Amino acid sequence: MSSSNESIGAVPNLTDLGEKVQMPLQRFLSDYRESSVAVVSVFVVITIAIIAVFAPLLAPTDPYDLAVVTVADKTLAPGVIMSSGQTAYLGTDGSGRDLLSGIFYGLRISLGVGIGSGVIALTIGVFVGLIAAYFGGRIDSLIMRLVDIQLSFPAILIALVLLVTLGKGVDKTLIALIVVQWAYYARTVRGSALVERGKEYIESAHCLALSKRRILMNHLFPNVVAPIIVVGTMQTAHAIALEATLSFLGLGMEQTEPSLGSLIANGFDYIHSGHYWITIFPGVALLVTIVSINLVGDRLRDVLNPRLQR
Amino acid sequence: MNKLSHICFAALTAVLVSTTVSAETATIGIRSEPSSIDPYFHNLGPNNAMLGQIFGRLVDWTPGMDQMIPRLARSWRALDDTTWEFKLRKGIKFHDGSDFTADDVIFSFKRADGYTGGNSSFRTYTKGKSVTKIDDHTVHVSTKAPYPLMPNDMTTILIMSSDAKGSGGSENFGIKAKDFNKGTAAIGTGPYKFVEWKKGDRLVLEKYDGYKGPLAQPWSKMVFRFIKSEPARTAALLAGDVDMIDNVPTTDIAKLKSSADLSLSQGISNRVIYLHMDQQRDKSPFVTDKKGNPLSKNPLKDARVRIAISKMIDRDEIVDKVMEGVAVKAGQLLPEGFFGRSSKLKPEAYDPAGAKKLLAEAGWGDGFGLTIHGPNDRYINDAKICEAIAQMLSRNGIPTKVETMPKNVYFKRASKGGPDKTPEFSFILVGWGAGTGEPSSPLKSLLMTHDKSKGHGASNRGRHSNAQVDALVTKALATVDDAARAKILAQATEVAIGVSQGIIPLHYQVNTWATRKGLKYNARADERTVGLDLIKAQ
Amino acid sequence: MTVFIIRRLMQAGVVVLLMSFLVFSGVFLVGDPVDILISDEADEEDRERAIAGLGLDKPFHMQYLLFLRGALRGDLGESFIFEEPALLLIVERMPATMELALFALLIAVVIGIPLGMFAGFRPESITAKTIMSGSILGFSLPSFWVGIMMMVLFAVHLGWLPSTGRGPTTEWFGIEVSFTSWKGISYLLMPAINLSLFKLALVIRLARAGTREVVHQDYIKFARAKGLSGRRIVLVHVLKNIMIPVVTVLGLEFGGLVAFSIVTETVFAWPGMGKLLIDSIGMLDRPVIVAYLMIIVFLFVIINLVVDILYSILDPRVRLGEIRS
Repeated sequence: MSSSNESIGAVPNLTDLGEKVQMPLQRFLSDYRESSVAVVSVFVVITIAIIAVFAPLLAPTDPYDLAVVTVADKTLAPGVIMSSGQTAYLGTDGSGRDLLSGIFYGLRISLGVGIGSGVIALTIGVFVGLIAAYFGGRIDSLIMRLVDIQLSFPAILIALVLLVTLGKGVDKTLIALIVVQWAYYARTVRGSALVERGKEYIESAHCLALSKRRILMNHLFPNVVAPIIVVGTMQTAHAIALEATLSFLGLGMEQTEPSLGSLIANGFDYIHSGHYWITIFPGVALLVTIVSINLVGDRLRDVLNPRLQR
Repeated sequence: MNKLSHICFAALTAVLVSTTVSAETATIGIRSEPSSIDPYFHNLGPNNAMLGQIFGRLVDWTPGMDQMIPRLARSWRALDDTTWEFKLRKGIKFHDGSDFTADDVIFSFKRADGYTGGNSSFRTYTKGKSVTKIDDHTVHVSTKAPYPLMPNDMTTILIMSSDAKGSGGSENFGIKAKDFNKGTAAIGTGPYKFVEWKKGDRLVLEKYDGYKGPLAQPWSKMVFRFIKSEPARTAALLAGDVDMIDNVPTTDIAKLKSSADLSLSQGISNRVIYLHMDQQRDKSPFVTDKKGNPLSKNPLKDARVRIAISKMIDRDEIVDKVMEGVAVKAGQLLPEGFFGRSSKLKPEAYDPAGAKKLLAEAGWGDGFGLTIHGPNDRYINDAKICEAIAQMLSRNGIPTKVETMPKNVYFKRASKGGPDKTPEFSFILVGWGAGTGEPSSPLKSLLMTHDKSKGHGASNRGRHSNAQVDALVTKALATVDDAARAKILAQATEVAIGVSQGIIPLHYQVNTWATRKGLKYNARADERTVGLDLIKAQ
Repeated sequence: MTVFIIRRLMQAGVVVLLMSFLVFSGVFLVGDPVDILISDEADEEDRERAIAGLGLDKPFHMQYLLFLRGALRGDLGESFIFEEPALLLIVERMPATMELALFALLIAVVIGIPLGMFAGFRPESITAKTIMSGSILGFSLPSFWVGIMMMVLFAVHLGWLPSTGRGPTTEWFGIEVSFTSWKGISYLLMPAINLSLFKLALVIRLARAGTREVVHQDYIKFARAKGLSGRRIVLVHVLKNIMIPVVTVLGLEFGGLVAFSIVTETVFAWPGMGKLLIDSIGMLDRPVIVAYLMIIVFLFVIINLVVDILYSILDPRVRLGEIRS
């Protein structure tokens, strides 16, 4: 083959480029630290994640145990003592749930749904995107047509129709959010993979007759990780906000196990009543979660890919 | 420049001042939009409320629904068991100037009875009745079997003009629903004329100067604005955009009460909120053991268990906490003051000890698990009530899960979501508004044995069945004498609810309207929002 | 070229057909309209009459074929609720939604471009950083929450603006519009701002990125060197350059704005198509739900088709690549 010469010459390039693309952790950290807002956001996100994971240990009461929650405690102001003898530090909601516990558990559901749907969508998207980029041709154009069609419709509309069809509940919301998100990942992965595919090290790998699977997993995949991280963070925040919006439209979680979004939606009933805490506290928790995730994502984008600044 | 700022200022004040409404126009924010101006298109609360202002009925209810009053009919009486005579008022004119006569009554009956299309017909009230003209102002309505509810049924059929012209076609006398919606066929005898309907936005009515009748005409123009969102409706009143809102959310009542600029009107409704329990299947899908495993026996088939559940429910807490005091505890199908209710049945008191004892007697002393299903957008605080009931049962040894869903999904599953189109759920929350103002309709639909061919138990989603109840209700439906019928109906209720607890009544809904200061709404038991009941306070 | 357009048109047709099937079967699965429409007191016979009246007694494939047959003639069925053509109901509501969406777009552009340009010119200044952090808020805040908060503050608390609904309308070239009077605008303001927030954040980012790219280019430096005033550079050169991506993206995003107005219209009781959709879902008015979704599908397919064709005219390589594959 005519390219045999080139391929021999290109082998050292393979390691060269690989190192250049994989940014050293230290440089990444020092770049990231330049923005103090972003640093604070990371800590906020970590705190929220800890709260979500350990909610059953941290929360003063179990807000989902109907034998304990009583409507007799409804709309207590922050600091008032509930009939169980415990203090409701952030007050109680319209069903008599301790709001602090409700927010802790709600964070668990919101983050769970946001991250869970993100991870599954990411897996599907990466798989599909890599296949499209690697094989090209008909497969690529078919997959990308599908992705384009889906992305041309607003996420909220697709999720809305899906939930109207499927009904309420954590599992259904998860499905809707996966369907909405996978295409973003597929497109991102395919885009970055295409750029990488054109690079010499992949061509060399071909010429070394490495198996297709190995090229996909060992060479293409690591190089599309950076954009996936960025898109993943943003998408998680987006998914959490979308879940809240769907709950507001009455298509989210079950009444007795509210996510942050449904807590806010329930709190809307009290918007004029002066029981401000029912709407404000879960709302603030949701905002802090989404904004800090987005700030982290924003910073990651700037650091990981300086060219990508919008 | 000066001029410009002047204009800007004027515009700004116009924006600000726009909130004060002209005294002659009433702007009313209502939750539910009617679906048509055609009076026979859809037997739906918002339609019946809105159209009752444009069209007249032969007989009408007082706002409290405790008494029937003459409207287009001057008087009525039963000539014998199967024939009723209605004398019509003279000198009444339709909005187009034509005279109201017996022909219009007959035309209206025919169009209602044979209505093609539409959503839920008024045939329920016209079926099996034949109307004959005696003279211009007398009609006879006859049935094959004795029929005591004739005047009640007449409170449902609106009378339209037989001269109304439509856009043609073979159905419904050539008058289509959209001919009414555009206004061309919307010709009634009511105190208000149809002006325009912008779907999703507003409906405008105008005073009919030629009106002669018992109803008041307090406004020269009435604008109904459709505001479905609960906080938005309250906000519109607080901002002064509307003079009145209906269906005030219970959560906002305390706040509105404290405002010096507003006043509230409340009226108990004919709607009872109650629970159905599966009494047909031996293995009921949502009755489990305490851990959630299926049971081979259905405890809900035992009347003692049903009574025990009723005793576990703290109705005071539901009324005080969930409904914010705006509801009345229920022990039967209709609240006090209505025809044919039992004087013996009282709301079940909260009695956990008594409930435990009954459960033990029935062999369920260790309890079992349940799931309660309910709608979340149909009745006042429906989902919250389900949750409170689950809390109460869980506290008392029946761990209960809650599943609520939008009414569009709920009712299909509750009626025929199971195998062979049977009800899917085991323990559900529903409401029933007795449009006829007496208990025969809920007894027939909810508590008589389900029988498709006879039309009995059409909404009996728990499939309660008691031969004694069936016999009593059948007898009542053929008894024309009011006093005798009232007694039988009360007796049937006592058996169906008191003895065998076929359903568990929770409370009667109380509806709340809020007006700006200086106005007053005569609250109605039929839950209708009618502009002419909005009056200036004395 | 013609081959390319025909190919694209056929693809668009397939997409519309596929979506119509998905939408129709999806909506078919949900609930039973008769249970909601019919009165409590109706018996089985009435119920069956109503089912037959709505054509719901036919099997699914028949219902779908009937729908397709009608759709080919431009008839998307009659609303179960109002018994009027579903298409007509939606078209009646369209001006309200379009007015809202266009106003939101206007707000996004008029406020977003200056802010984004400022952030692009002085990226290190505190103001620029504040603007950019603010734009993240715009991306993050769930719009229903912002809407209700605005309503409580400006309508209930301060009483400056009407809370909900649409103001008086006047006819304008045969279309009902409400922005011709001050009162109408006062109703329009809050929902439009609410709807615009997301796009505002987007425009700020586009404008900033565009500005930063342009300021370092030779012709701007040249213009400066030539002694052109700062204002002229900004207005003519920079603005011209950032308008292209802004207009392209906003054009593509307009459909999204229309779809997202579902939330805004629900909060502010704005009588547009989005609110019609939510109301129709609540009442299971299948023909209206299907018609709404088909209109949106159509809108998106058209937008994409036009963009594709424009690109292919501007860049022949796209066309060639397409034909080769």
